[in-house]
Amino acid sequence: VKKLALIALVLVAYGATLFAEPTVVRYSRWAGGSETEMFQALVDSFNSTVGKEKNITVKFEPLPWGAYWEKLRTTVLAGDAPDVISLSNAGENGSYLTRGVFLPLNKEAGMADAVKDLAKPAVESLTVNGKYLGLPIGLGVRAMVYNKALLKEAGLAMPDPVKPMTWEQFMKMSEKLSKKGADGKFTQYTLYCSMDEMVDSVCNQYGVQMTDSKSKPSKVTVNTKDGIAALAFIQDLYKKNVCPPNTGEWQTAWGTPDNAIATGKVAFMLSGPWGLPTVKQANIDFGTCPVPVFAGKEKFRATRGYINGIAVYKGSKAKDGALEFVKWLTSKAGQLEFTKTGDLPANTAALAEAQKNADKVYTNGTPEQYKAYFADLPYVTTAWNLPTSEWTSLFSNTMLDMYKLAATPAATAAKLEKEGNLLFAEMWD
Amino acid sequence: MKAHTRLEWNRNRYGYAYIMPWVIGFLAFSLLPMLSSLYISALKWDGLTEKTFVGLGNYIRLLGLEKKSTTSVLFWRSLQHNFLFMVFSGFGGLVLSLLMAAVMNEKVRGHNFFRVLFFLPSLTVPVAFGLMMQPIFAQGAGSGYQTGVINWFVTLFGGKEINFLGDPKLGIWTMIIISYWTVGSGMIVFMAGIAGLPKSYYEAAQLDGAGWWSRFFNVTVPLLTPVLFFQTIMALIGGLRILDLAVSLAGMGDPTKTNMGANDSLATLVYFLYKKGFRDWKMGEAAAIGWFIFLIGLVFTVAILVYMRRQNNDGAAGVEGV
Repeated sequence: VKKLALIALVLVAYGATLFAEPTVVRYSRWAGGSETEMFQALVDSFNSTVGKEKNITVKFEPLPWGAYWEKLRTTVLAGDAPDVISLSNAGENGSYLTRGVFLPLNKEAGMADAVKDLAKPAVESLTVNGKYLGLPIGLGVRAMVYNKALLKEAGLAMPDPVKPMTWEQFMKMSEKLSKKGADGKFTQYTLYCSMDEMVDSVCNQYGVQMTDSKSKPSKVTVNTKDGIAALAFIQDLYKKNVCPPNTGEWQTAWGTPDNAIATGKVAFMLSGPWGLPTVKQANIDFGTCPVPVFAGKEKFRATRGYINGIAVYKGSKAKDGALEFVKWLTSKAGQLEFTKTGDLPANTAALAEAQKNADKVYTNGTPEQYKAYFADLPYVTTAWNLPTSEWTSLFSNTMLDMYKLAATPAATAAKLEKEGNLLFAEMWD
Repeated sequence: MKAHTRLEWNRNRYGYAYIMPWVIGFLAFSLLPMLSSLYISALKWDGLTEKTFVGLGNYIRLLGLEKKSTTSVLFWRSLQHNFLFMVFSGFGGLVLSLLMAAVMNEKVRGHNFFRVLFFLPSLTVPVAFGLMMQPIFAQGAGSGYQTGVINWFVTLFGGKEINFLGDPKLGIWTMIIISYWTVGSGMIVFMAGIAGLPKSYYEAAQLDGAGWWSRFFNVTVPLLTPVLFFQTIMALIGGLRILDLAVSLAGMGDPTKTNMGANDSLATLVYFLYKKGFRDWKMGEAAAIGWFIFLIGLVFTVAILVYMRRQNNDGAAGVEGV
């Protein structure tokens, strides 16, 4: 009887493990359109492999870009954030990294190994006081994407996919690419991009940093001879009709920075690999090339990029499952799956493989079309990582007057310096 | 005395029981959050990390009493926008809706159709309304492709496009004009008020040879005073709380859009409160803005009520005098 009872007990225990409810991990991220399907496939890949083995089910909670950050803010304040949170320094990383929202990963099992294989600068961007508060999974790079038909129509040669042209050459091309219709209104422009991001890159290309630090700035450093020259170049893009006039809002006629060439009325856009599916869907024959450089200033080559990361919410009730997902997503296997979504992987081994076998890894473009992203990757500078949005507001408002030709570059630099310095003094007070 | 109290208690206990759910609701969901927000307004706090007591620091910073800052500049701009909105949208809308109600009351031809037509926009959700207005007031900046309807007309006659939504000097005026689309709801309230006025006053005025304007100013307006006061208070409170229209016109949602419209042209106090609390993580400053809104609303409401009471007393004295 005792033996039978023991066998029954073992069977019950075994059965309990067999039919135990899986640990459900909530993973939230911004995604829209085909991206949602790609990320669902990534999650399914985890669930059917490591998840199945360890009885973990990751539930993907996608939201449009803006709604994602709005919801994250309120769920974090309410203490009900998802277990695995997506981060991007194009979003609001700084707000969370400085406020103890994420679980420090340093002491968690297996994390030291995971970190070892990731691009060091990307890891550092999510590290605060030596604590890994998040890990990078993707490296977003902006490069020039152009509409081949419009260049051909203008009788222009296709740019080199790896060697950057100079801005002087680009401005020359613009003379043939920005066109007016019979009524005198522009029907085609050379470039449409997020100019606030371009300003930062162009300043860098002049060897100027806009502020003395991007994570804890104390002063604005753009009010110099070179800084003003960089701003004057930006204003020229509007004066010479390289870009459509800037009203402070995206103008649907020219699309957005990530799909402008799909309108057929813009020759170049400054976008990352995430912009390629839309262009492909619009049946636009496109090429990519690195962001131009200034002649004689090649050593200051720069483009805007982003680090996409993931973090585990400090109040997570499924911490172990969340950590397993993070480990998998930063491993080579997980990173090669992630690469299918379009970004360049942060895992160095996966990055090398993606570069070598781009034809097998990427589905949104040809290896030739991905060359510019790999070429621009070492020159990436990232956005500010600040605890509030005040600098972004001030920057955006001040620059807008310059884009609209209502303020000179010198006045803009002086205003940024005066008001920015005051703001930073208050920010860290 | 004791017996008297017990008797009173016995008599009133059901009354107390009936009002208790409301009292509990008021204490838990109004008074307690208000006191909590008063406490938060005295803190430097982001909602997550440790709190620092700063006393009146947030109020001083908002007002720019110690030094001018971007925060104080935006606070004063928001306040100015709210006052403009209260005066021109609140009072302006009131005058417009009263006139419309008086005209509709004349039973002009097709008045039922116009009554429905004027009221319909009030049924639209303000956010949807804001989104709807963007293509009307948008600036195409000479692109010729997505110029708003008004700018299309402006350019048609050789004019230069106007940046209705992005110019800090124009943004609030655009919002005020847009708000006139919903004066139909005020019109309905005034129509109900006018319908309740004794017809004999109008007949007497007409016999005395009073014209339409004379009847309007000397009969309709004085007799509608209680409704007018009620509508004024509602308009003031509404003007102070304006948010949804501004947010939808500014297209805030994208985290890269951190300002209240281009150049903060659509800044209002509640919008600034939202930005401070949920964009800049400054819960103390946000709570202080909330208290400014409350105090401004309180001052205006009390002033109107005192004025109304005096008017009533004067009226009563006048009657006695006769």
